Amino acid sequence: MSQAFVTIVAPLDPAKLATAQAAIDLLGNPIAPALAALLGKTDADGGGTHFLSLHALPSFTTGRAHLVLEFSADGSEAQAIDRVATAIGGMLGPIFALARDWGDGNVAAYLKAHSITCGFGWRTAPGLNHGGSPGMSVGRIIAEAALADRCAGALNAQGAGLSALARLEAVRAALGDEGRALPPGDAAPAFAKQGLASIIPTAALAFIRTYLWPVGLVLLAWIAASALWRARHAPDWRHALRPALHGAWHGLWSGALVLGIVTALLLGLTYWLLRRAEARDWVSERNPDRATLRAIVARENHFAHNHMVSLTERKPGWVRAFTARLAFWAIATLSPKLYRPGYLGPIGTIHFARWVTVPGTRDFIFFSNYGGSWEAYLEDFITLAHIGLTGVWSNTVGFPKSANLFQQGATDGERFKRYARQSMVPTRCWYSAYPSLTTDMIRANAAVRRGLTGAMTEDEANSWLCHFGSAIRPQDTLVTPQIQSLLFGGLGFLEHAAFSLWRLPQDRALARAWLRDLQPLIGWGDGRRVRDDDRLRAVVQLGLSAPGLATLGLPPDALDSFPPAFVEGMAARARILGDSGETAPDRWWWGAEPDHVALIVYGQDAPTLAAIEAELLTAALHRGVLQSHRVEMARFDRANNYEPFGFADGGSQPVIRGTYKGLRSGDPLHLVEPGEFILGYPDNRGNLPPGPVMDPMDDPENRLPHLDPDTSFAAAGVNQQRAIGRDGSFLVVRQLEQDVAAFNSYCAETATEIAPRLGAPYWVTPDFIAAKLVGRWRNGAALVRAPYSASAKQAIIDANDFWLGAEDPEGLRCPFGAHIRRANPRDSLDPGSADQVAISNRHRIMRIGRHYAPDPGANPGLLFMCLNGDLERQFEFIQQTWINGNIVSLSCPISLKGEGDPLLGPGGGSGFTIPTRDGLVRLKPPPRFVTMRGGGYYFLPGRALLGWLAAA
Amino acid sequence: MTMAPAESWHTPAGGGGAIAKLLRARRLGWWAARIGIALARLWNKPLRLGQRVIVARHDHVQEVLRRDLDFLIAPVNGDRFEAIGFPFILGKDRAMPLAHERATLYRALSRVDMAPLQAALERAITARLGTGAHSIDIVGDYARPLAGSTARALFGIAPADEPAFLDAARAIFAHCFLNLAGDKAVEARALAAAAQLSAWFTSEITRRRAADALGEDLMGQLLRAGADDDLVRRSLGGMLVGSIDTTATVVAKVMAVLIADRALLARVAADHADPVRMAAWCDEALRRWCHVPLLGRQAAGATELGGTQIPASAQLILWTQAAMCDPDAFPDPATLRPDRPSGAYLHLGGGLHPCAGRAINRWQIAMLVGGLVARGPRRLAPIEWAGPFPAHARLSLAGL
Repeated sequence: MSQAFVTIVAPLDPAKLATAQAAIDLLGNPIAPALAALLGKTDADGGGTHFLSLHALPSFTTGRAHLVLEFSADGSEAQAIDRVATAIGGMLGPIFALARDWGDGNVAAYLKAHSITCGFGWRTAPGLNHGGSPGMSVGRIIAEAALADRCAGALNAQGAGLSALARLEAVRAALGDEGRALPPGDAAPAFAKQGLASIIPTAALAFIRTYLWPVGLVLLAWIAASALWRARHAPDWRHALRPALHGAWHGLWSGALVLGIVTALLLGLTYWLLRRAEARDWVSERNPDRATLRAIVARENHFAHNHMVSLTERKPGWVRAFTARLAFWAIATLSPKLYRPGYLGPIGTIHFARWVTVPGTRDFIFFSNYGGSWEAYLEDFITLAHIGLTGVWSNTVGFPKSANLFQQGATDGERFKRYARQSMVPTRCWYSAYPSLTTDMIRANAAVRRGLTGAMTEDEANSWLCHFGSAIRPQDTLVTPQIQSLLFGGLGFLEHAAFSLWRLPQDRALARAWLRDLQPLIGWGDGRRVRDDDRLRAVVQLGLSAPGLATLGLPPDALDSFPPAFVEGMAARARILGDSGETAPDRWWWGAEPDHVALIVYGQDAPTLAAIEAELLTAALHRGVLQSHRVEMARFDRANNYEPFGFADGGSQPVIRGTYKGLRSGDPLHLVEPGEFILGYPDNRGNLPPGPVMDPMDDPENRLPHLDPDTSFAAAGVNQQRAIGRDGSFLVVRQLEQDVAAFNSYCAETATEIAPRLGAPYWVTPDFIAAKLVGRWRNGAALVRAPYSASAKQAIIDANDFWLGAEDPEGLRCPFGAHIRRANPRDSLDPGSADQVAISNRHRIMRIGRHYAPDPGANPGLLFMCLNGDLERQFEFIQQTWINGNIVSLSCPISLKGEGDPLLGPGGGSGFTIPTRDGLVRLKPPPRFVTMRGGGYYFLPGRALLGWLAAA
Repeated sequence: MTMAPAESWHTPAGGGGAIAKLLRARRLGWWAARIGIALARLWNKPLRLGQRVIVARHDHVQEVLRRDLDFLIAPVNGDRFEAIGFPFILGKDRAMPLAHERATLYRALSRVDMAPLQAALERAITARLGTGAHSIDIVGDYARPLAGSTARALFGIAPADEPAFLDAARAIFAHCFLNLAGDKAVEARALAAAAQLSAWFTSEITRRRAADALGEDLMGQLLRAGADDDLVRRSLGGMLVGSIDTTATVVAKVMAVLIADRALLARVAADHADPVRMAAWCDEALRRWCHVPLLGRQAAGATELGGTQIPASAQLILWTQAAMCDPDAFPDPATLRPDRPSGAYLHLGGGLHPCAGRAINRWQIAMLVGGLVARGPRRLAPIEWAGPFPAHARLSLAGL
């Protein structure tokens, strides 16, 4: 529906100004309830009057006075005036009867006769209108507010545990027919921010059309004159044609040239005069009149929005008459291309505003119906829209000093506010059709209505819920309840754990039924209450292999969209991972043939763990699911978390931005973006990595998230590809048996061997050798900070913010081949470079493994588990390039030829190099300390995909 | 209910008005689209002619399809679906009835095991092409009957009068999607055909419910999904009418495009065993000769599209063939290549209303065309037409 900005200006004898003001005061601000009721009546199509104010104002420039009635209403100007005259014409009549030219008493006719129009062309007085809710009628705004209230009430009455779509459906059901039959309403006006390339040509054409048309007329006249002049001697029109065309052509180029030069000179002159005027402008130092200010303040903050009227004087002269128009033209032309409809620049809190120049005067009046307080409103302008504000008001007397029309001025915030207050007059009569609504509420209510009728998917329903007291989720904000709890840490508060593998039956219905059995046991989100049913104090985390996903019915196309490394499985990637010989897949205890499901069960104590595992086994028995392997972890003691070789473990971990840990730790060395580990979020480079997708036809219930969600409901997302990876992560599991005796023996032997080679300050002991191999002392202290002995200082032990390259560029403290320097070289490849840290952080993994409890007589070991957003870029890269590779420092010319990772490598090779000032010390080739016994790749699905897989 | 005789909905040969002629003109359509998109890019915004707006640029067409609350489909073809008694999701705008019916239909579709249908089609292709004959009518003896067989197996009705069944579907499709000029004869044929089709469905639904044997096909899955008889009938009808002649038309047009370009044919033939590549080749070939080059929408209210002010109730003509020649979406548009992004094609609509049978179309058309190109097609005789649809097209083959 169109909207009319009506401004009525009637001449008033200055002697009657006080009488008129007193009469207007009687109407009230806020307007009297009886009048509000009359103005609040809407047409059958919802059309009505949004805002209305009435003023009796003195004139700065003419010594006269005016009655000014301004209102914003639906429909055409004539409809709007008739509606107001019908509603309160009886009250307006006596006031306008004070005007000097009051006629026969027909209010509507009088108002129509005194309606003024402003614009920015040569033929209109300078002015501009702005509407904050374009196309929305009063009836619609009020009805949508009531609807949103009813929706909020229905939502508030709901219980826990419902999906977003289920909540929306419940609201629809609660609203009955209204919820089902209501049309979605017009979508918000389309908007796409335009680039300069498209704005500049359009704006240039608009400028020529608006301001240079007189030049065009002169040019045409010149062309005609030139043609006539050339043809003046022709005997008849036939002979006149050729010279006339000649003359016209001559007139065209000569006129264009001359007028172009003249226009450029005029524009240059205007600019020069403007700059000169700006240099001479004076700034008002006057404080607002206290009585006036009291009157203004007494009328403010009765509603969710306020009204202001500012009366100023445009500076004299033709330059300011032009620049005032130019400023309005710039705002009107550029704002719609750069900012959303309903926004004045970046400010979206204004309902209706207008600048008006009273025709025949330099009186410049600004009316605004704005949301929130005056102070907040002005601060918004000062911070966000000072360019436009300065462009307009720098043309008025007393405004803070400006430069180049648009610069400075309003940036001088305090002077600007004083100027604004001083220019204001009390609004004596003001009406608002929806006093409790701000523009944000109006937009949210419209979105609620559109979503109520138009949202079809879980994603859209989630966006819809955001409109109730929340806000649309930014793309990089984690939806924690959708993400398995392991992504937020190792669940260390649950000290007992077991890892198990399961084979699903081929009967898909049974397999899915088992998944449904599991669903209530799975823990989601950050924090310690990760399950609805918290009695057991135990949770399950679930991973699915590629065959597992296929068995559960993931369509082949969707499975193919997973990364090849995952689909092929760990055993097929043995060559990349260095799993050969003794650790080749055919020697693994498990994992050579991929199982379907990996469960990691956590409990606060052994009986709890046993109980939940028993529950799982019972359900599995019921559904024909077989447990194929189980590894029980050793009890996890956070305070004394030492791995079997005796080293403090778990000290260096990346921290995901947006998690509780991320809020606590801001160390840029370890802080990574969610997309590095969780699919569906931006990564460290700000990109949204491609993830697995599914055809929407395979998601008829619309449970799965969209690939490219539209939160406005303007476009249906129901046929969009589904982002099935969202909120999921890839889990790597490797059972690593550790030969502790061999490790200790090697350290003792090599310590004896090299002790004569290294004098002070070295103190060569088996612990020293172990530290050089690992890069840390057994207590966790890093060699770069404690190079010669294990420091007892807790600060050094805890410190994890060291830069390997910058602090130890030569590898004299922490050898280049040490385990921690291989696994995460930090800045080693370019010492001190933040870019290099950023590159290294592209290859971080989140380790969540625990030590397992060995069988009697067997070696202990680590059930290595890590999470990845990209298996190839993260775990496989580390394993292939850093752990098993030779180049760990570009500045190390001899490289590490023939060396492998001393802990995880296959043993043998050329030994292990310890660089010293006295040249290298090479330890004898270490034997294999760690043996890979089984492993696999699993996908930890987000809650939505798990729900889809488990659906009957 | 009075049953109309089968002849009453048989689409007559030739004729069919301007739209039909446009659909039959391969080169004209292609060059018109190339010139159209060039002009549209020059004009840089949709062309408004009073209450009609021609939209040719790919991004503008996509925007119209995406903004389904601003640009409605119900006023374009909803009434036609309603009139023939098959109000279907493709004629409904976004609201709860659409959401419910779409979910029910897609749920049922996702539960149909397509493997037996694909195997049956593979066997049928082998049987039709493995006779040693050196030519075949790729419409009348190949694509149309085989698509009809798939449709009967999928939708669950098997009327004895097979030609009547095929023609009924054709008559309804011609009116619902191609009768932009509102030809009364086309409409009359559609109404008669719809009554017959409805009777077939009603009879079969009643039989299944009485026998308590719902079946595993789409009808059975819809019944299991809780759809009432009316929704089952409407959903199946809506799906069926677009399934047979769309397939036959596409196969004929794709083959005509390939035969006209021997080098292209050789490249496509090399991919005949790769269903994904074959489907992509078909999408590409169809750009040169679209089976539906235009789509329609109606503006819900006054709005703006690509810099053009659109008045309320304006008719938008989406020139999808021109859009698929837009270099912004299809760089080097004259070249056919099977590695373009699949989301750019507009053959099967888009936004809220893509073809509901698109997944089936994809594999069925790829298999049918793949079967032909594998057998060395040599020459295609001029296509004989029944209105906008190919009726016969004889293709000579090199043999097995």
